[in-house]
Amino acid sequence: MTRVTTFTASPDTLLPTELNNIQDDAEELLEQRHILHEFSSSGINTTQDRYVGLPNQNHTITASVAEVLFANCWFWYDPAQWKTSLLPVRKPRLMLRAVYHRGSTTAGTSISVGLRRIQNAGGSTAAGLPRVTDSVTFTALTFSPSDASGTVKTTTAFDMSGEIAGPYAVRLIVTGTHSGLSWNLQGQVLAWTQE
Amino acid sequence: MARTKTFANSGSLLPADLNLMDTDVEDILTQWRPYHRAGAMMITHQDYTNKFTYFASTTTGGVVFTDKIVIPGLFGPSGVFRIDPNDFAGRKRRCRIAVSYINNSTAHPNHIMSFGLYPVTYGTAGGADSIPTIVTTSAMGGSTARLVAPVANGVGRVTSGEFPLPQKGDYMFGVMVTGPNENGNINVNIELETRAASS
Repeated sequence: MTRVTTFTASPDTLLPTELNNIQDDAEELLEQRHILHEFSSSGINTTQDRYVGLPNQNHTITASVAEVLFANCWFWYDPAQWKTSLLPVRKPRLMLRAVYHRGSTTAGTSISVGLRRIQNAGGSTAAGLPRVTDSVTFTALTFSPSDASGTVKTTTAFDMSGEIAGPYAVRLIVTGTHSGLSWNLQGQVLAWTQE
Repeated sequence: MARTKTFANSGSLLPADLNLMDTDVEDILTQWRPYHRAGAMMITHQDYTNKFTYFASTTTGGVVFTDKIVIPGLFGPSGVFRIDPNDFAGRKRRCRIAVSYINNSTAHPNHIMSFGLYPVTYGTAGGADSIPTIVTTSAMGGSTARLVAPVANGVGRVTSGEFPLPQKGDYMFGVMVTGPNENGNINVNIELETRAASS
């Protein structure tokens, strides 16, 4: 066990700096980011609209209503699990980060990837698969086809303190013509707590 | 940097300040944090009386249920993951299983789904070209999260009680389902979460 300082009965050993260091240590713990969700998707000359998870766990969305075929396309998030009880209030945060790779062609329209809260859309047939749709949309990342391979983009830190517990997902949208464009996108949803 | 109080040489240190700092650290240590996750589509529109399945971490599509808690052949993603208490310094750790789900439009009034953390051992391979076998017996005590009779279009989360961090070894998530064919298909995410025990 490594302490900032081990205090003894001698009052001379207690310095304001040491108490501040203890609090800074606690804050560091809160601000460490955890990976809540990972996703990867790729395309060649394709338009896409998918909830994305780990490789081969994407699912195409039709008219904003999807059949949920693969569980890892979504994840559960409860902001209450990322709060502390004391002042100053630290807010539960989520952030989306993705890296873009492409082939030599740079034609086509942008590639958008964003965090969504999803909800049950109902309407599945008996013995059919559950269907979901977007509930809340957060600001997305946008990659231009001409972005260099290895370009990393990050959203701002979303303040999730006003959000509710529930299923969340990452939605990838590629529209328009992509003549010869091949691309790959990999990313993460990160969770932490910060003032 | 958010401190409960920034101290200076002002004589402002009170017992309450130290108590607040201690509470703050306690909050941080005892929050549930994700450790491992898997998920799958559970196709339950068949007779699943006492059927078992496990969850590979990269399962695509539906999972396959078996009559017994023995995985006969391991070919592809196994869903097995390592737990080692040495990864956690300091206080004893607590664990729980959390299962989130999205159901289709059919209720499951007679289904009980018991998700749990299953210790794994490795079977002996057979002859040439045989597929390796993994074996599990029963869920760890206290690790069962029960999803009882999910409603039509249900979305939610159930958790197990708290149980101690298991001993070093390999584990996987599994579920035992009881109940008849109910035309229900349910999509699940299973998580092992951990936190420090309250002091």
